[in-house]
Amino acid sequence: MAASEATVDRALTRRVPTQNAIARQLGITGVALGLFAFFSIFAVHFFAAGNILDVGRLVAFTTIVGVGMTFLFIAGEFDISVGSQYALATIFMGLLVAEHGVGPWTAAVLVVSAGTVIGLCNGLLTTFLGIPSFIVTLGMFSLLKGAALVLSGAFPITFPVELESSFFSVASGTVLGIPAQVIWMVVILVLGGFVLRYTRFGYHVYATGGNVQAALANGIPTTRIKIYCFMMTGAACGLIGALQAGWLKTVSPTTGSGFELQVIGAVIIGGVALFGGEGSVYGTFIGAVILGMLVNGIVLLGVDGNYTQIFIGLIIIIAAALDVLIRGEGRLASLLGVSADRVLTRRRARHVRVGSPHGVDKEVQQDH
Amino acid sequence: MSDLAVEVGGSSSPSPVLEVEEVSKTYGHVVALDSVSMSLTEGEVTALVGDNGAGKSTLVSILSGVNQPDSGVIRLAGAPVRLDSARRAQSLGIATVFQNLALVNRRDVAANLHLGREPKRYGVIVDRRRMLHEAAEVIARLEVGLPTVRAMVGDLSGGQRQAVAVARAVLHGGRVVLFDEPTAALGIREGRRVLDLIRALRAQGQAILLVSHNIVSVFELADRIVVLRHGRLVATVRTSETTQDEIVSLIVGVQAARAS
Repeated sequence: MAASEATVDRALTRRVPTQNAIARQLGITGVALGLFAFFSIFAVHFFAAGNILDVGRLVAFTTIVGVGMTFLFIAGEFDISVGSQYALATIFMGLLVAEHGVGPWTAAVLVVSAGTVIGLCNGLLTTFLGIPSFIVTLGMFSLLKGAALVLSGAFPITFPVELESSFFSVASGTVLGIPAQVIWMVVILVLGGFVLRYTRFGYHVYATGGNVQAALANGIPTTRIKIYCFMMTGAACGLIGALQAGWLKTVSPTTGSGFELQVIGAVIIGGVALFGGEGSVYGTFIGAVILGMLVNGIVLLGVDGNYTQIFIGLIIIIAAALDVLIRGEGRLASLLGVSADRVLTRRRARHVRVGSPHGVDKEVQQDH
Repeated sequence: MSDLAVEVGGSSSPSPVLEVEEVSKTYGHVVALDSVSMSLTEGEVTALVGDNGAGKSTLVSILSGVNQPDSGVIRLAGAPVRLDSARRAQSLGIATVFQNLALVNRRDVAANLHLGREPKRYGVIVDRRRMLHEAAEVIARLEVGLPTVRAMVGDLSGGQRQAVAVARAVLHGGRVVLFDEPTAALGIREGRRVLDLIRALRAQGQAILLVSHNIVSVFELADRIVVLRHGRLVATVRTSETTQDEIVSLIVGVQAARAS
């Protein structure tokens, strides 16, 4: 009896072979590797150590904020104000250190806290006032950018030359040739991936974005979950603001213009579901790598730098279109009749239903 | 759930597990429930019937903790309780199988079975192994035709999804299980399986409330029938002592023969 129970359990917990999300992650990883190979071969200087490190720094900041944005997207919200948050964070850091003589470490902690508070505001406005996060953060996009300009008088702020702090090496040094920014990224990526995948909070983020009514009915505090996700994104913007200031030792209110495009683009290319409930920080990282390589590689190919914006725009739309198409939604999918997802789902459904241990639902086998 | 440890198996003298006493609820000017009293008994299926707008959903939402009554008392095993949140109702042992099932399609069966109550290990991480194990156990016990609890809920058939929602109610040890239109969205064969599941729960001694429009399945399953009309209780009858025609009349109010 006990033996048969054990076999039932093992059978019931076996893995489902093809999972859409995994297939997609492999897919975009392939795209990233292909792109890397392409630029390495055709773009002069792309494969140079210095250039790889530059791309690494670019990717690092996008990914750090991208991790927060991934949580937000999965919870069914998003934040278009990250570029302005980033700008304000650098200015705040500059003012604290250069004009108020606050130590860089203390300043960095204050900047990250301020970022968290900005995220809290975004979250409270979205959840309690019931304004869509697109509108709230569009307003914040302008408001925070304006605040950065006003606070700085629209001029860059430079740290005193004689100022020395261990924070500067933590923000911009290298370890075994790896830039500090990349190390920060890896830390945030691992931490974010762990929280999303293995903690109860992560489970609740997926549930909130996947089906908010179901989450509520099962006692998940969806409002609080969403607010935490906004706060994480704000904290991430604070962190990169502090790191950026610690690296260049000069801050400018124009920092981070177009940054929201990079971050949201990375999240979408990474395959996070447009309407919540699905995605991973790994996908966002690969999305950031793809965008970072494109921005850099296209210029190195000798293409006019002004074209990069066009490419980024196209790629975001293509990635989003693929997302919708794969889910079998939208008019194009119905025009094409059979979507990739429907094929996948059907293959999986067959697997799911055939071989049921209790022999029910056998009739489904005939349906394909 | 020691407060629920009422004696089980005394079929000769069934004790009410959940009692609703003169519960009222208004939405603006609309009186959704007007001083309704009823009770649920262990090992019994009580059907709650009534036309649209009769107050069935309001009563279910109050018992599941989603909404709070304006007045009235709810007793669980004799003691008055405040069901001020869904979580509170669940922790008191009142499980609800919602009409919309409250499932997350893009998560697997195991995650859905533990939605909002994921077991933890070391205080932080979700105990995935325990989750899979418990899920497999309840799925096997209920003889739900599912090959693996790692299957995405969105890939399941309507009946399988309904079974997952029922399994969740069972898993969390509900002594009281509320079913809101459990077969409305299902085909005949799938509906059968869900009715079998409800029978199995009754045999295990659970007190069950079945909200349904389907008079045939109500007569097939229910031990007692509670009829609501315009927010008022119009009848509580034993199924064996009434007919389908009588119940339909009570629902629509053509002849208030047995009305209190």
